[in-house]
Amino acid sequence: MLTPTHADLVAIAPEIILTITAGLLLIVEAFLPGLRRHFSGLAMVGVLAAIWARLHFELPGAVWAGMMQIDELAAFVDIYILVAVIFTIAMAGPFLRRTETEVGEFYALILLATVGAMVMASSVNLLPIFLGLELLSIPLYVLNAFLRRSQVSVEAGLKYFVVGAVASAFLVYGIALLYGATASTDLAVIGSQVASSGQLNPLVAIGLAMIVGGLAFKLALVPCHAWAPDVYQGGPTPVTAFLAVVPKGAALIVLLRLADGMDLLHISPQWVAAAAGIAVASQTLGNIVAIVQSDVKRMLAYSGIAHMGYAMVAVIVAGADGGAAVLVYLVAYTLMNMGAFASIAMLSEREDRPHFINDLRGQGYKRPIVALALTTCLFSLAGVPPFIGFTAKFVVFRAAVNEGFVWLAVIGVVNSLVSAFYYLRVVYAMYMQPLPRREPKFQFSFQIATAAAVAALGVLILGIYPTPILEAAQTAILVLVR
Amino acid sequence: MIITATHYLVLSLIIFCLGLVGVMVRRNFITVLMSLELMFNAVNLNLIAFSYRLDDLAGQVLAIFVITVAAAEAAIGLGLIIALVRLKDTVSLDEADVMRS
Repeated sequence: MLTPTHADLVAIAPEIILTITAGLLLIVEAFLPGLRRHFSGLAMVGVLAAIWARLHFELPGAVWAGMMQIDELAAFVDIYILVAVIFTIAMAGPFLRRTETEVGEFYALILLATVGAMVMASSVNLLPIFLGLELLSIPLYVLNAFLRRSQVSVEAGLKYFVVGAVASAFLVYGIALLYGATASTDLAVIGSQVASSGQLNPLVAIGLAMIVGGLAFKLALVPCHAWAPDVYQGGPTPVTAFLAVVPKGAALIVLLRLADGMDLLHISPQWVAAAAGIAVASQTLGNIVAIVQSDVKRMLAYSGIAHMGYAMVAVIVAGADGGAAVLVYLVAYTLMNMGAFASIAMLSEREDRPHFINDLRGQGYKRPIVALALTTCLFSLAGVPPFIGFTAKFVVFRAAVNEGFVWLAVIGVVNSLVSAFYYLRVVYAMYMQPLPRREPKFQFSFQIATAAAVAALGVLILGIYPTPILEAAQTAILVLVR
Repeated sequence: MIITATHYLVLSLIIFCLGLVGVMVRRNFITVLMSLELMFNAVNLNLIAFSYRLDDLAGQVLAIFVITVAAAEAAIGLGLIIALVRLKDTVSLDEADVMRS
């Protein structure tokens, strides 16, 4: 009988804190519904306590019988996820009050999904990776359908559910095949077996392809991207922000662990060809289809597809360079998207209607702070210096060039140029076009405006002075690569 | 004929593909849920066949976790059906498609 040790429990203190907070929220919701106004504060305290726990306790390395690896990499990803959750909760409070759906379940589900993402990112065994993925996905199915009187929201939940469940089935089928081929679910054992054999045998190759397929659904990479626009458009905006950032981060880390553990770059030219194809297709399709979108959230969905294409380039490169580039890209992607979605959460009239770019006409002068925050984030998403989006793309493309993938870097740069067009179209509408005759009524919310402004400031400051992030990413990735 | 683990693997692949086709072509959400269940149970069959062939218990442990997760997903799926029925009075996925632009 395996009993957890003291070190095991301390290592997952942040996860425990979040789970307890989630349970507490559900109990308070059931017995003291009068306290609903304070729920977002309570959830925020839980997240801050989790961050404190992750920074305070020392990182023990392998725990839970070697199933989880709590080290600098796990700490980096955990803190990035928790910061994203802070933004989500800050957005959610006023948003839920406006849609009259402020209940404890919302925050409890967000926190449980966070635990799932954190487990997934710090696991080095396929079993907890699968469980983490499910703990992340199942609350998100509910959250997408949270506005249950709104047809688009229920529809988003349904679509995400069907696609997500199929993706999970693919992933776990792939896990079964890898287990059958290597008699182990431990990534290190699988990795060393595959890397030492010097090639992928058919069973491993099919298993790996199915796992990558399952993760590609979460990452919304071509050809598994079709759900993204509808789910982004229909889901409640804070949930969309969470969905755009947290599952993708966790999935990218798992992909990185797999690619690096098996040394796929050197043993399997097929993997490089397939992954490069996926990366290029995602960038190109995402950027081109984004041009014709009239809904801001749909546009950001296609932009997210393209951005994961860029991140995929870093996953292909893997190793110290590529790994650090993935982490930097995740931080940049998080800040930019959180800022953009916070701005959109405020610049929206009704949740069940599309968020047309045309509705933003003239808002640059009407709502200067939020419009400026949105502009900063969009410039950064387009990869314009000095914002962090530029730094992140630079790090990714530099890693690609150093490893000899000049053509991938060139395609990426060309795609960034194309993407500038549709991002700047929104900026153009906000600053260069007059207010429409029927002026949309956007409710001002101090909390959301602050969230947007903080994200935009982060985008600017870390863009000018990226050293802390670059150094943290490099230290974190050293524990992964041999 | 002796039934070996390989036969189970082929059977599991067939069931998985049937489930996948069901998810893709069926428009009734309840049938889609059943097809998803087929896919997950194909995985379980696979895991147990491997566990038998490798003489290793980890596969069976994994199968028990997959059963649990599949149950949770089915519960969420049924909840979503209820939300859809209350809103549109239908279980057809085609009715839930207003966003397609």
